[in-house]
Amino acid sequence: MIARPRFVIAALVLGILAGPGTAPGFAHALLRAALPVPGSLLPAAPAWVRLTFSEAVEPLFCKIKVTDATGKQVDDGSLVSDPADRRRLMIRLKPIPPGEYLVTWYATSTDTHRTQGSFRFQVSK
Amino acid sequence: MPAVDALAAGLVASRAVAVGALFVIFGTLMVATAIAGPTIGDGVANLHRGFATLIRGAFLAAILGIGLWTGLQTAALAQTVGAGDTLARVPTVVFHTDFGRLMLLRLALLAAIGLALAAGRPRSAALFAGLAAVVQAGHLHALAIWHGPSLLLASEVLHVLAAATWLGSLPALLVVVITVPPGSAMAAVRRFAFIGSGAVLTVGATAAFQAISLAGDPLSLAATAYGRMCLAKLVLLGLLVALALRNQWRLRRGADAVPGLGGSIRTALMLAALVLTLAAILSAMAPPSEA
Repeated sequence: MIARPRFVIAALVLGILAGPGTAPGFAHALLRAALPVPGSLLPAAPAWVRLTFSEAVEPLFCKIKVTDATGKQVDDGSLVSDPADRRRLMIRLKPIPPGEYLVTWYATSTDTHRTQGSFRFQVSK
Repeated sequence: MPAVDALAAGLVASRAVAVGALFVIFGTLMVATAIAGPTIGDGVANLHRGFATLIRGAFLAAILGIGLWTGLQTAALAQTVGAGDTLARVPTVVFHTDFGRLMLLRLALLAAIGLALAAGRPRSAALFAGLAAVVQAGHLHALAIWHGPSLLLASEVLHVLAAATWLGSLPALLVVVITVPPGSAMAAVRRFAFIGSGAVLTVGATAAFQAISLAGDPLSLAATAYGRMCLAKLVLLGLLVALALRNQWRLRRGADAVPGLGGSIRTALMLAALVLTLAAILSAMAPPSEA
């Protein structure tokens, strides 16, 4: 019902040879870039937190939360996606004083996989 | 947590049922229109009844599988509490996510298959069924990674189409073998061998390509859970190929009947079900190459 053995072997060998030449796969939405940069010390308070993931995300099933050192939420709660780049999410911050802030994110990629993470940034006095 | 495990297991099972059923619809229509028709003499009425039963059963399984998959995926995405909460969130998932849009596309194609069959146009139905099977590639890794054409997406589309051609045809071939006289059945199986060769070649090449692309270094495949799952799938595919090669060899000897061919196809069907289950598990796992 099936192929000649040498064809099957050739196909497997070709696949293995072709494999390492391809770009690496990223099947979950991982954080690729963030503004403010994780761990950074900023001279002035940012108006937005912007995250760029390794693949497109579903904004309805994503969340970004920014809190201060006391755990108080300092974002306005309305997540915005970038229609030009479905890998990008933004959230507006309330006016924040100098201090350390924690960004916690939950992302769902368009292939339905979920990831999460967090990072800190500081605003100098 | 047991609840999470049950949800994950339900997702894998419903996905495998939906995809397997769509493959069977495509495979059966292909066998009915391109393989069996020209060679079958006696027993044609039984054969058509068998194909019709197969397509009806696969249709029902596809709709149930798609419905269950959508519900469970909604529960997983929205982290709902209870069936009522899940049902309330289904429209959001169906109309506002890529996953939901792919499910709607599948249902539209199933409706098109039904209309084409009702209109007596099985070739059009087979075309729609092929498209419904290929939609599966939209759930795989390439589209989420690249959001457009890529070598990996082309490989996934070819893989799904070839797998649907090969594995989806097995139930219909079994119907041919058990319902028509041996001489006619052998003629149909020989005709399928030609298409099956191309399908197996494609499945083998694309499976190896994806395993290496997503699982990373071929020498360290066994070092990760994802890699081990890839290896298990490749081993099962290898067993399927071995089984098919054995049947090919027996067919080439020119016999009018191959003893045990029905049993061999049943064994291949069980292996195919395992392959589809492993594929469903793999699609829910994170490839190590993303680290």
